Formats: sequence, structure tokens, C-alpha cells
Amino acid sequence: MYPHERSLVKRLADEPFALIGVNSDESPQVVQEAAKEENLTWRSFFDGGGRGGPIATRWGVRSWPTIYVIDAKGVIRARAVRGEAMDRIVDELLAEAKAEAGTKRRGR
Amino acid sequence: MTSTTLALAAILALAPPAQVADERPQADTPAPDGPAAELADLQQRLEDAGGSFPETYAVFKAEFEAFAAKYTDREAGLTAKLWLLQQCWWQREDGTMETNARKRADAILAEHPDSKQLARMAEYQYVFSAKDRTEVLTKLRSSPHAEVRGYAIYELAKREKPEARETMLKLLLKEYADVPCRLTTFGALAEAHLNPHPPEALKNGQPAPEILGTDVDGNPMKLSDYRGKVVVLDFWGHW
Repeated sequence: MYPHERSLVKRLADEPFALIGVNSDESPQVVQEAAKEENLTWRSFFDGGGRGGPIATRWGVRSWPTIYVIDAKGVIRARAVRGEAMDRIVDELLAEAKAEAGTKRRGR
Repeated sequence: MTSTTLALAAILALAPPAQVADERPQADTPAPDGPAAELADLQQRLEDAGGSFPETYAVFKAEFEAFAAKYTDREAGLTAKLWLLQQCWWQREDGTMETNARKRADAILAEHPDSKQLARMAEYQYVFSAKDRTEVLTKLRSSPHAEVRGYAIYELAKREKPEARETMLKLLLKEYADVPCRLTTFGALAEAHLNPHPPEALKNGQPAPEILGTDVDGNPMKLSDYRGKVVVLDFWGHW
């Protein structure tokens, strides 16, 4: 998982894109060490120190990793996508966001 | 003050300044006592060997057993016993997990009924049979520590029918809201269980529910901070 996430984050560094984690490790130290060792640059919510934390519980997450893709307007557009399928939907949503921004500018 | 303490105070007063200075850092971060230091060493060696897995359990079991026996009436001894209880998990496939877990739990409950560490026993409820789980958790509900009682109520609630479950979760919310559970509180956990996002609110086309929380460094963070960006929300763990 990490290599794919790393390359996605790197490729889209200049785009309106963010990879946001909800982390279920037992302590922030575990995450900080993992981030250092694996060169993970994205920000994560810390979900209470274990699987079944408050965020995962409210979102009904029972298997890890679980992915949601959310568009620039904050609408859920995909879930449980990985790898290339995840990249594709992200690229589509970026194109969509840019097209909409363009329409707005022209309409002004 | 007894004459012995007075004599000791006099000796301390006469101690050369260098020695006093040397003692200060130790006062700030007290060196663990014998059993705690020995346990820390054992845990470090386990960690260096790759953490808790069937292979490391096989290697370290005897050492943890010996440590638990040596310090059977100490908190450090109990920590070792709780590790051994948790490791029963590796026996789930040969069918001995549940009986071994119950044996270990009964011994722990008899020897350390009032320890705060028993919250771990509630956490490790997955090693018990359904019947034992209920019995053990019910015993933990009479602990003098809110952390232990809260954890027992929480684990019992999760297995109850909807009505009883709600009553117990509301009890947690009312009386255990600020009591710590792992690195969150029973209040936050009960709240999440009482108000989960309905599945239809998490479908494609629905606005993503807000997440208010803190990041790994303790800074406040919310999902809506990223409005205007395409977001991959990744529920993950380093395991």
C-alpha cells in the first residue's frame, strides 16, 4: 500500500489533492516512527489508539485499509477502490474540479 | 520524626553538592525499580525480536512465565500474566485458546482483583468463549477502578441486544464520559456507537460527514479543512 500512496501523493503534489489518513494504531509514536521509516508525508486523524476508535466506529469501518474518495465539493464519490482504479477516479475528479472552476470563471 | 530519619537527614545535608546534583535527574525521571526494569528489558527484547507473533510467543513464553511466577504479587508480574493471557490467541487453531484463557483469567482475578491493569483483560476479551467472556467481564464490573469497570461495560454492551446495548452505552456516556479508554474516552466511544453514520449517508453522492479530531501530533484537524481538494480518505494502520 505505502509505495502506491507515496507515488500518488508525489505525482499530485501540485494539484488540489490531499491524502488524509484516519489512523488506528495503538499510539501516535507508532505512526510517527512508521512515517519516518516509510517516508509517509500525509496527515492523519489519530483515532483513539486502536481499531474500533470513535471515527472508524461512526463510519462503520471494520476492515483496514478502507478508502473513500471525496470530490472537491466534499461529496463521497467512491469507496473501496485501490491501486490504479483509485488513481483513475482521483484523476477524473481533479479534471472535473478544474472544468467547474473554468466554467465559473467564464460565467463571471 | 524518628531519630533514624533525623540521622538520615543529617547525612543527606552533609552530602557533597556534586552528589546532590547527580541525584536530581533521577528524581525527575525515576529509574524503574527492580521488577519494572527487568520487565522493560524483557519487553524490549520481545520488541527487538519482532513483537508479539506465534514464533516470538514460542520463544518468550517460558521467560514471561518465569517472570510472572517470580513477581507474582507485583504489578510487573501482572503485566506479564496479562501478556500471556493475550497470547492465548495463538492457540485458537488447536482449540485450547478458550480453556487456557479462562484458566489464566481466573488466576489473575484471584491474585490481582483490584488492579487497574485489569482493563487489559477487558480489552483482550477476544480470547474467551462467549460464556466465559460474559462471566469475566461481569466480574470486572465490580473493580474499584472506573477504567476497568468502563471497559467491561463497553465490551458487554457491544454484545447486547439493541435495547440493553443502548442503556449500557448511555450509562457510559453519563458516568464514564471522561474516563480514558486506550487513548480516547468511553464518552467518545459510546457517542460513536450511539450515533453511527447510517449506511445510506456514506454512499456515493452523499456529502461526506464532517470529522472533527486531532492529528498524530495532537493538533486539531477537521475533514472540511480540505474542501476544494479531491480527498482520498484512508482508514489505515501500520500493522
